[in-house]
Amino acid sequence: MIAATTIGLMLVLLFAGVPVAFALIGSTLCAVLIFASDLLPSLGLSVMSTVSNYILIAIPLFIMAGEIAVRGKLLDPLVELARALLAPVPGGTGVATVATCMFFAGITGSTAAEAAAVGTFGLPMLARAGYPKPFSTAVIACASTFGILIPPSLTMILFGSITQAPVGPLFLAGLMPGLLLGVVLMIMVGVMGAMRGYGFRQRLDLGLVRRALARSAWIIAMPVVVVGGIYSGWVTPTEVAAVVVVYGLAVAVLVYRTLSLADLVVVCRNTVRVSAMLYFVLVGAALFGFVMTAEGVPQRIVDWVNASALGPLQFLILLNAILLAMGCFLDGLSMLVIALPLIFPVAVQLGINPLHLAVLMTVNIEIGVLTPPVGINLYVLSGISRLRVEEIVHALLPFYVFLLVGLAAVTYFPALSTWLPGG
Amino acid sequence: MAHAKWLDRLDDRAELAAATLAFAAAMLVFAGVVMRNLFTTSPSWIAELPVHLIVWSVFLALASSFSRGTQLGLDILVRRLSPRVQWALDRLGALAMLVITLMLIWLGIELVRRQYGMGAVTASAARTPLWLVTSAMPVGCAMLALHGAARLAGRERFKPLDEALPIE
Repeated sequence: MIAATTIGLMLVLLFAGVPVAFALIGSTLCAVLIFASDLLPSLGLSVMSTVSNYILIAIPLFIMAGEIAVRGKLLDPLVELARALLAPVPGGTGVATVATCMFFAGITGSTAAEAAAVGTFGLPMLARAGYPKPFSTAVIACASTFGILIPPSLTMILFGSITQAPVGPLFLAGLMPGLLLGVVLMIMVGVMGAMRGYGFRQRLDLGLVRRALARSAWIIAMPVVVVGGIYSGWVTPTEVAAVVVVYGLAVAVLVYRTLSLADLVVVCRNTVRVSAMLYFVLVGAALFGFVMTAEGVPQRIVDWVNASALGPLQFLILLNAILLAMGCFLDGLSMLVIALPLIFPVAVQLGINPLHLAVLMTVNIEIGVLTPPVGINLYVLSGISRLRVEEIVHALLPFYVFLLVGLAAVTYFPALSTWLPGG
Repeated sequence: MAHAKWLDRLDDRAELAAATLAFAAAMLVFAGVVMRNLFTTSPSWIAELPVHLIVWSVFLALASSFSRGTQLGLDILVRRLSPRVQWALDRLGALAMLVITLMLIWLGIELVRRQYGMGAVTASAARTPLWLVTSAMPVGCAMLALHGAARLAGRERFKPLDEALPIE
């Protein structure tokens, strides 16, 4: 009864426009107050234990690193390098934009922040190279979704926090599918650009490449620090976030001299504003998960799956369909915190590797941020490009096919996710 | 509609304090890495203090996150309704927010009271009184409740999805 009331009330509040954090917390508190008020003190403790989770410190720190990269204009040298290197390639500027998105994904863990950052300088750059605005916007919209697959990924940190899975292997699980999707997207953008006659091919200017490489070497080291630090076990994911913050700060202040004290204050203010919102949603997820587990809801879903004789692959295909539908109406984070406490025990019961599940859910979220009517990256890029959401969606059609093929590959080949972390 | 200036000033100062704490936490985590790898020492407080700073930072920034940032939600259905129904749902949402934050304040105060009464401290050698950390919860939620009241009075509204930049 508590579970049914919680889910029912949560849906009512969500559809009434109440933010997801309030909907999750409010529905849980009300249901517990009515049916099991002796559990209330445990909820207070659950709130505090969620917020005091050491792993979650990585969230504000990676957001801070991303903010430093944006405010400190650390991406500019990287764009110069990508353009210089890819000038002779057909559709080179478009390919360079995808490459920049992949690199930025190695610094920040957010798709929306990445879409905003790359959209701001990438759209004018692509326009100067002769790319039509809808195509440019679609390329950036699609490429910016890699922010949550390539480490560091906020989605993976949240997955780890909800399921108690270690974040280091989760980060590594996303790396290979992220790089693979990125490379395929680069080829796709290059081929489409060449076939449609976008952009101008130029000869490779080795002097320019050398100068751009020297200027961007400091930035190239940032994703290397993230992946290398975690892979070597030298630092934890939380610590690597702090190392990237200090490194980014040192590069922006001492090398490029692009970050003032006033900028740093803005960086920290933006960081806490976004982090507080994410933590509040996580508190809601923790309370929701606490009640669902106490009421045995995941076990009932397990029983249903067993009775339906669904195998792991059929379950994952069904899960993809549900998540894709949810992605049309919910943002990625809400999708994760609502679905994960219910499906994770089922997946474990079916023998699905948590790393595989994490990558599969992340790719679903990537598609979700691009699907109308509620696709956050569509709105972010619509604001920057001044295109209507419908125009962006139309230009995105081939990229949806690409992402769905990527999702199918990730679903069918678990090794893509589990090979690197050795899961 | 603009909300009360004093509430805006309160948010601003709390956000600045939260930003300072978050920056300090980042520096402390980094200091921990340096101390462990260069000086092979790792005092327990250096792992514990960043957590406490982030707890206070999160709760202090909660109100400004609500009023200046955005809250993730589903507003597609509400947008299609008539202005009168939208107005009624907005007030209902504000009331829900106020009730939820009041409940969280109560849960927080109860937890602080129990931890203070039991003399509960952290497990590490630093032995920090837990109530000092937990106090952040009622303080942050009280500031959020003020926004719930302001919204109920029609002086604020939730920011729709396309007006702000949330993080995935």
